Amino acid sequence: MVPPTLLHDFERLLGPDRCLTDPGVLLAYECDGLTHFKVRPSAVVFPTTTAEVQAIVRACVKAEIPFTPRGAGTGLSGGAVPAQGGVLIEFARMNRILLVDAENRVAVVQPGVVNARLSETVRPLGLAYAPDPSSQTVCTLGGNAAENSGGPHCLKYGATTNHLVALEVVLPDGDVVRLGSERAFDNGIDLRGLLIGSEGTLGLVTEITCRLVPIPARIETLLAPFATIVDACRAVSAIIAAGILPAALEALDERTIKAVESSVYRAGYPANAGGVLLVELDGHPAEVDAQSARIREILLEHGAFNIEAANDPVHRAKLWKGRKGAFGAMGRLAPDLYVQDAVVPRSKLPEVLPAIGRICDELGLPLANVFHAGEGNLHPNISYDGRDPDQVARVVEAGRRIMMVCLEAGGTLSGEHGIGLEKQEFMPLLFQDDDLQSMRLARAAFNPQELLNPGKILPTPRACVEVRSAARKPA
Amino acid sequence: MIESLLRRFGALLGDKSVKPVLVDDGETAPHPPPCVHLLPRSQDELVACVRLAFEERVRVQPVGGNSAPSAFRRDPDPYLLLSTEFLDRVIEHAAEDLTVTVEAGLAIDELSDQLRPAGQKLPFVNSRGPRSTIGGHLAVGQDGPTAKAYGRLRDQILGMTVVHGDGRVARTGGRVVKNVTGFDLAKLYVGSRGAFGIVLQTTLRLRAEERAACRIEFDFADLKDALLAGATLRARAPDLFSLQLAHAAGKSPWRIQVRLRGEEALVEALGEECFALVRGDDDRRILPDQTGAVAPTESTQWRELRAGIRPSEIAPLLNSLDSEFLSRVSFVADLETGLVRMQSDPETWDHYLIPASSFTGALAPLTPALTGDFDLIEAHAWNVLFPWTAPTRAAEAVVSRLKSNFDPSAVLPKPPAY
Repeated sequence: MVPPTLLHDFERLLGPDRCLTDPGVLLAYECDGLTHFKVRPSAVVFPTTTAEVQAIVRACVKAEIPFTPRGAGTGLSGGAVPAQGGVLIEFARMNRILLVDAENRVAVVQPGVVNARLSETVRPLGLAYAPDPSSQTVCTLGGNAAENSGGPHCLKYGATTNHLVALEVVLPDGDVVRLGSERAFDNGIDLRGLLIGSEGTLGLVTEITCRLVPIPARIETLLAPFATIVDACRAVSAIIAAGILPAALEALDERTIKAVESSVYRAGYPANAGGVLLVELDGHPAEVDAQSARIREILLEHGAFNIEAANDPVHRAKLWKGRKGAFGAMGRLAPDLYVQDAVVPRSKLPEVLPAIGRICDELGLPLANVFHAGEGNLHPNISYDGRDPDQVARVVEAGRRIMMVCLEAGGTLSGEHGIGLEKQEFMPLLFQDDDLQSMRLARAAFNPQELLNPGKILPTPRACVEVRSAARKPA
Repeated sequence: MIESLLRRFGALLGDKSVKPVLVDDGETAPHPPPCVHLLPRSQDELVACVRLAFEERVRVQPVGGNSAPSAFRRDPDPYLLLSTEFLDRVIEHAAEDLTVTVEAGLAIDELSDQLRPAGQKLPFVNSRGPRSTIGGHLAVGQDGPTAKAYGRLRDQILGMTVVHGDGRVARTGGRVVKNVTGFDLAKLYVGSRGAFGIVLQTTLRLRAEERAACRIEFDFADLKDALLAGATLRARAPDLFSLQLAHAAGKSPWRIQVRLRGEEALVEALGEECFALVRGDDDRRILPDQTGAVAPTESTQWRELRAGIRPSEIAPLLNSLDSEFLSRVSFVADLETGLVRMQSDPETWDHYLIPASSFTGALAPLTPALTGDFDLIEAHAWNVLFPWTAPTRAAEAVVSRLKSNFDPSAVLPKPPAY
């Protein structure tokens, strides 16, 4: 438990309305978007300035109490779950856009700024912030930095790390550092790059300098239905092999289409399709037109029934509605939804997807796939009832087997959700002891006491041995 | 000492792979210290060399193609010059996934030759000559003219295997194009000049060769006209592959250089737009594209300063510089990224830059409006790197802890100025 003196320090620093300790209120902060892992914090604090974050961190260090940063709590790997008896530092109120420099195409923001709000703010200037995770209307840029968030348009524009050029960070001992530079193209040691995607285990981001991109002159979205999702994936491989890099290349399978089309997210996806591809092209009109012609040819060659092209914002939004609402639509099918996140080489999609389907069939679980096909970033989704221990056990087993299939195909554990608490145990399946030890050494250089967000990403050395042994047993 | 090192490492690698040498780095620099040149034939041999060096507490200088001389040690103690020359295999070219896994000693140009038949290429250019290796390029970590279109060098690394200073081999990342599994340690290794580990192999993102490419040059007698043209193109033609302002020492014109790459229709349409925006229909100059350096180093004796500044600062910087100084330097500014390269002969360099103890002081009289307000990337002057902005003590402490964690006996090179 948090000592009363520490709570007193927080209340004196922040006032009672920015320091929550009521157990009933704290319930809302015991997990993130992954509800498997729940730990109720001892206190939740709401700083509004870097100095307050610094003071909170120093107070926690002095009291030897663990502390965990949290944005909007939309993470899907348990990264923002507090440590037992720990303090949650909630950044929702550090939500100011501090500067927009249109000439140099950068914006400086506090970490609690919601992702979509930045793009809305700079749109009148002809600019946009490119990373667009599915939760972008809710998730914060600080959380995006912690997770190195992706999104459909990261295929062309890159993930969060490509777009955050400088960070102000409170280190786990309370010191403040600036990492990177808004003069983006320097070189040397890139602590900024190491910190992004470290899931809040190396430092607490208190200010972010974001790179902005010009809004493309032309955007075209293509919808292509196929008989099977595997046919759709073969078309994806052909597009990539042809050297075309669309802005987005997304896939939805039959079960997802049905869920979407029977929900408020209905987008008009063909009911007879076993899978659809959404392909978005953007840029100069001449480039978009030329690439569109080439891609249409490839799609039809690979079995697309037809192609629906959307060139105006309303039509494009309609086609995207189903993709963006897919998780919400599937959430209606059962009380709980398990969203897996793994990546395989994109050429392996046609063989990996059927293997995942067989796993879920064997375990009697309903599988739906909606994923970033252009990057090989899979999101197998399983609807289930978390109140049923048998279903939960089968879902966990499916997750493990899906991971194994992806790793055997040369893939990795996570493309955008992170490791958090969810996949720690799988890390030894991908990395050797020395690989993991290097990560521990990196963490120790920033966070030697491990008071900042402890117990995330890296398994204990003992767990490494146990998991590798378990993985060798027949499934 | 040298004899002893020769004996110990000769026993490890065989006598043919161990040579006493003096470094010929093409510089008129202070005489380098004695060293032993090790030429391991495999990753395992290289790792064994580092382990032995760690045990013997002998310092190691990794070397790729010997094309970035500023990386060499200038301290007086004997050390091991550990070459990646024979680590030159393409381990896997997954053409259908646009990725390639290679060993660190492979020459960039050789890899490019191997990728060409598949219509693919690296997402960065070799700006250091034919000997430059992948490992060396990553260790130096400089961005170049492809940065606007393809992104920064450090974002092209999908995975990496390194040997740390204590001989431990560690892998980070993987072979897929999107990955948030564990810490992205490749970000730490790129640009750290081998301070935390020596790159053994890496997996890189590739790009498809564009269907069409060209270069358009607009020459201006007056710097102000060139800057205006550059600003117009930057504001109204966002789809350019690159946009640079260049000036060659001793020559009069200021040149706006535009590169166009993509579908044939794009290159044609954009070319027309550029002419319309800058000069109307007259005086067209369309050239084949060469993505390499715009103003190549005039001689290996020339000095170079690279700086990263805000794009909006380029015009004030140039307008504030002494005109005689400007006429004597070669200058390339990437108007999109703010990456600036300035090169000069040693006399000019010495006259304007060397007398000061740091470049902040040296450039201050030349740039009164910008003193202390832009980041120096690096400068080669007697191979000393000058930090432009002072690192904070807290950041230095983190770097120092990283260094001691990854290289506990400090056998690897010192970290570059942070």
